[in-house]
Amino acid sequence: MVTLETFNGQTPAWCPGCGNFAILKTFKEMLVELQLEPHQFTVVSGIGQAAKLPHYTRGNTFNGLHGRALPVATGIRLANHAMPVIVTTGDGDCYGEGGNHLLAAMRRNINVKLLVHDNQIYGLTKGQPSPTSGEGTRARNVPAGVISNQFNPMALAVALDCGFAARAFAGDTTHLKDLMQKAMNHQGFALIDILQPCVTFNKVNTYQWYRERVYHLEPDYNPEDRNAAFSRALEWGDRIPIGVIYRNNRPPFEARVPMLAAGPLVHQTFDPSKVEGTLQDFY
Amino acid sequence: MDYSIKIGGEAGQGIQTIGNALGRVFARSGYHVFSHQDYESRVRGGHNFYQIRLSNQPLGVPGDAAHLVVVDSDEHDEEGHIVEDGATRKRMVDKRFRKLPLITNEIAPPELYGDHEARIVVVGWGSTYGVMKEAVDALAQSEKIAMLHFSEIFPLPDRAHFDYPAFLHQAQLALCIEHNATGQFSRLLRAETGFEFKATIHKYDGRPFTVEELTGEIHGHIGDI
Repeated sequence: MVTLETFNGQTPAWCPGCGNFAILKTFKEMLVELQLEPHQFTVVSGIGQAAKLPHYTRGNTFNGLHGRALPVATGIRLANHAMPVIVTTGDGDCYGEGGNHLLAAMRRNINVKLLVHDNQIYGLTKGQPSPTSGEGTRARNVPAGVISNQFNPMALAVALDCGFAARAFAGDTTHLKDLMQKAMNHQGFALIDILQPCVTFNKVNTYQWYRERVYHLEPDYNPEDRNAAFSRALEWGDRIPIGVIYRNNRPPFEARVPMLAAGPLVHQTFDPSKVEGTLQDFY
Repeated sequence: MDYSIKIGGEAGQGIQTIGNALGRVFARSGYHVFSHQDYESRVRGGHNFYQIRLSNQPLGVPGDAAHLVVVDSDEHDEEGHIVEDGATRKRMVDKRFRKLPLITNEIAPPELYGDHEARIVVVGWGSTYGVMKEAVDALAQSEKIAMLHFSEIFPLPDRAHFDYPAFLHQAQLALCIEHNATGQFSRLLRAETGFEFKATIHKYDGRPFTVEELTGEIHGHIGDI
């Protein structure tokens, strides 16, 4: 029987009040509801405060290089596509260092669940602007303010026909858990951009700032309407929609790799006689 | 039974071919095989490895049993989870450095080619192997010349098997040949052994040495003796 205690890990080294605590708790609850045992899934992460999450719970874990969680996750899925694979990452790690890997994962539609803890700042390295920091954001290393456009992960996801793209808020965990479950059940790549305050380094995008702006997408909103999704993806500022912004039924990458049709690669038997014919061509 | 075999060598020497063939032989013989190879952007030279793990038992994978696989790229505890306290950090660094003498023991000694009582020694590492060898052959008729080639450079090879600094001291002219502007290897050798080259030959226009070019340069330095 899987309970919340099953997923007890190290004591988090996050600041008191950090939005990550709510995401971690919701993540554990989601695992309990799915009755997944720690050895039945793998969490992959890169570098950053969000990337430490796997150490604060229990599961197969690969905590590797900055921005490189998705390539590892892709490899794990191709080796064993019966194993659910979840990536926990931040806006800096995923949208900054890992930018191209994100594009590739969306295009492939690899069946990986990507949870981006988006606090619009690099928290681990003490508050540098990240790709999702707003234009004009001032920081100690950018005293005159950011002069780049703010990165919009939802618009990118819709533009690349991403399998599943949702936005959540760490202050609304019931809603977040529902989105996590939907993402886990989706057959394909799923991105949840989780708006999350950084109580230490981001004094602008606070709990209150988000609470005043986020709203749930209406029940009759159709996430499969790509044009409507693009309009919602562009909404930012006074009103920020949360929920499943976009979804489609593209077949996942794993379903299109012919070698995987016979089952997960790691469980296929290796019969050398099957390749004798091919070997004869070379020897 | 559970063996891991690592095949290493210069790019182009057939590391992949050997690894592939060996992997197939083991698989055909009925063993369970897991192999992986380096995929690096090495158009010219450099080291590559091909690793094969073989067993007469099926090799387990994460998810097959209740055991967890936890991998972390930072300092970590026995379970693989990250640790950031100073004491553990120091213990882990000390542990890693205890491996250094063992690694040094496994580093290949430099290859000596040509005259073992050479008056002139050309020293190099990595991809200059072929061109240095040809230059030594070209000059061997008129000179007592040898090549000393390092295929593994850090840590430097153990001197107990072959005292290469002494060999260099005995030569009348030792030349360090490198494909860089600053003489990184000659500086490393000086820092680690105290041996200082009287002259160096560097090429750094992004193109490899030709035999004619290198022979000409070495010849010029011989004239300066």
